[in-house]
Amino acid sequence: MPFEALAEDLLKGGVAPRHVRRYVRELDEHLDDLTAQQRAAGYDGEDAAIRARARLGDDAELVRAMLEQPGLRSWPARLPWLVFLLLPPVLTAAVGLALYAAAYFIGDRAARIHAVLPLPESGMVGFSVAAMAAINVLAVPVMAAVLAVLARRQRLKPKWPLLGIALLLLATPMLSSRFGHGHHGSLGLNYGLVIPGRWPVVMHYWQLMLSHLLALLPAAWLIGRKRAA
Amino acid sequence: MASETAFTAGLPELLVLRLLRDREMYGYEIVQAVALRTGRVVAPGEGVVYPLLHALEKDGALKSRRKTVHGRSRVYYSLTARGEKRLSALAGDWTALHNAVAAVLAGNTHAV
Repeated sequence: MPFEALAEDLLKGGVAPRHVRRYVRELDEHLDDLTAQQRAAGYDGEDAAIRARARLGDDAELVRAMLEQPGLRSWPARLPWLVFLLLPPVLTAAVGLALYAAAYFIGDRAARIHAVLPLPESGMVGFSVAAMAAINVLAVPVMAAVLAVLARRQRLKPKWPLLGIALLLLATPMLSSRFGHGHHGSLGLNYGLVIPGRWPVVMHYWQLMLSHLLALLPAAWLIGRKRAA
Repeated sequence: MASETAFTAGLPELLVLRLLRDREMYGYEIVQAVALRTGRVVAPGEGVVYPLLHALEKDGALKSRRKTVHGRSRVYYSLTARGEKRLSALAGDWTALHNAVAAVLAGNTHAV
């Protein structure tokens, strides 16, 4: 890839990946134009390429020009504590509440849904339990993966996403539900390692442990990439 | 662009905005136009025009679109309304500075 070293320096310097990608592509296209210009001026093959590259500017100059534009830095590079430490717990709380509200909304209208879509009650209950289990297990690992990818794209030190993932593990949201007869039931939302009062403890911890194990995969990936580098 | 001092800060931006007021251009075109229109007095290291273009676009002074012309796909930049205002302000500053320096060079003793 052309300008690979330059792209690495820019990412490590905190420039947003989308600006880096575009910069590299524009430099590549500019170099093509300069090379064609040198050929038209009578320089052949390698000579034209060397002269074109010199006119484009050396890597240090090209990197410096980009780093001098503070507005092109990414949020994870500018404010890593905000992106990796503050936002994840806030997002976790928000996601938990949003899912609770969605589950409540659906549960509240269960009778009407059943009237339109006459599925057997056991099927609806089974589907609800499975959907909640999937959300409980996957919400935090997905957020952990996002943190890991954000950090990796910006070549940040793994400490930021690892701390963020640790906070996510401490604040994992867990939805719980109990179904009674005649479309009656109850809904709960717990954060972290709290033992829910209205839910079988074994099921809660089974989902919590699986969620935590999956959330550790992005952390392991980050550590592996760091060691490989 | 050329290395900046306190006196030349804002010059690359002014030139780019002024050129793009006439028509949309891509980076290579802008650099060639700057060199041509300034008689090569301002001859920037060519690749460094892009950080300036990206920053101006982020500030809302420029907008860009990828366009294919004669089989070549490139990012074309054009001026926005905000860019027009910025150009007017910068041009005013530069005219004032130019007049002040000209007065000094002419040996005027009165304050400008």
